[in-house]
Amino acid sequence: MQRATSSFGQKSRNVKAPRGVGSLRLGLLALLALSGSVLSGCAADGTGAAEAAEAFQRDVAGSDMTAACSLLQSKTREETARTSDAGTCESQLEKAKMPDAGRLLSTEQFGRDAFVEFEHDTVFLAASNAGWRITGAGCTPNGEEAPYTCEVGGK
Amino acid sequence: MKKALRNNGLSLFFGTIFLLALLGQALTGHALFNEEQVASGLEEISLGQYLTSSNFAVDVSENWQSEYLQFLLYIFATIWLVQKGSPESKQLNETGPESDKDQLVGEYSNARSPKWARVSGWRRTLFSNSLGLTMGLIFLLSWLVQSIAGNSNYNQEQIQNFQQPVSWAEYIVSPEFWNRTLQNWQSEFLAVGSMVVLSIYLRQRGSPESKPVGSAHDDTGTTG
Repeated sequence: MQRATSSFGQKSRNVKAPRGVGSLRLGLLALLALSGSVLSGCAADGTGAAEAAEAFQRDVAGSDMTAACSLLQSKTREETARTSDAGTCESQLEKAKMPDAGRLLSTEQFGRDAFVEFEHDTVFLAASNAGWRITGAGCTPNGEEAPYTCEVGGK
Repeated sequence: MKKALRNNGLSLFFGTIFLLALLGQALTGHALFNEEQVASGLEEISLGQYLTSSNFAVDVSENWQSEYLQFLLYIFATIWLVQKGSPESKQLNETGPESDKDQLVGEYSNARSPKWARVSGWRRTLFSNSLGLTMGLIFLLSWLVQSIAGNSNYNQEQIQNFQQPVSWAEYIVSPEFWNRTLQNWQSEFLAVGSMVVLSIYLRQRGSPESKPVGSAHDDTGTTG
């Protein structure tokens, strides 16, 4: 898009010291800042997301569905309630066939989204101002490219 | 002050419009990002959060890498390749790195030559290739940033769509990475190619990017 190609045909043989060193330095600094922000974003270890996923699993296993529902993202909670015959998130969670998640295997966080794998469950999360919230739990894969099928939330 | 402004008009002009365009990209990108967040039932983010997001970083770096690649290729291609009639080309018989005499290095340097053009050894070699190397380094760094930020941004979309995130190694062979890359490259290559060819037949009075208006179409390597 830029069109400021230099003219190589110019036959002035007056070799000059490199110009624009200041702006070059600024550009390199900007690039480093950009790399820094990218790398720091990637370096997030996802501890908060893993803790929220574990708390959700604990609440479901302990049948504290009110606490479990409070960890769902607001849209997920509304949709969960809507699909319930009783019209509440809690009753739908009781009905859902949530697996016994088992041990935490890995957490991957990218910006404001996280993917947490347990031995027998996969949980999807999104960051909110109140902390990490579950957007999908009890999820099982459907082959490499297809979305997971989730007992709670999901597609 | 006035003289300094005039003497640096070109770099100041481009520096200023670069910053304004980047600011515009940041503000509109932030607005667009939040529109998509709301549509997905997710919370909006602040401008500060957007500026440090992979979404902003990948959009910036994918354009930067292609621009620097364009100049890198142009710098190196014009050493060896010529185009009859183009002011962007050297004379047809001047292909290659040229002689020390032509390049004013070593014993042919003058009192105003930069120090590293006067000395011999690695310093002269480095300085002789410093423009291409710097453009190449910025290209590679920008492309690396694009791949890392693009991977993170892609994985955010994957997770929002309840799909498995991919590793960096998987991402750099993915259609998404190469599509982002090649859609920028094709436009840069077209623009450079058009400049080389159009400048054979068309003129812009007063611009060093053009031949003098009265130059013949087959005059090569002359600038107005």
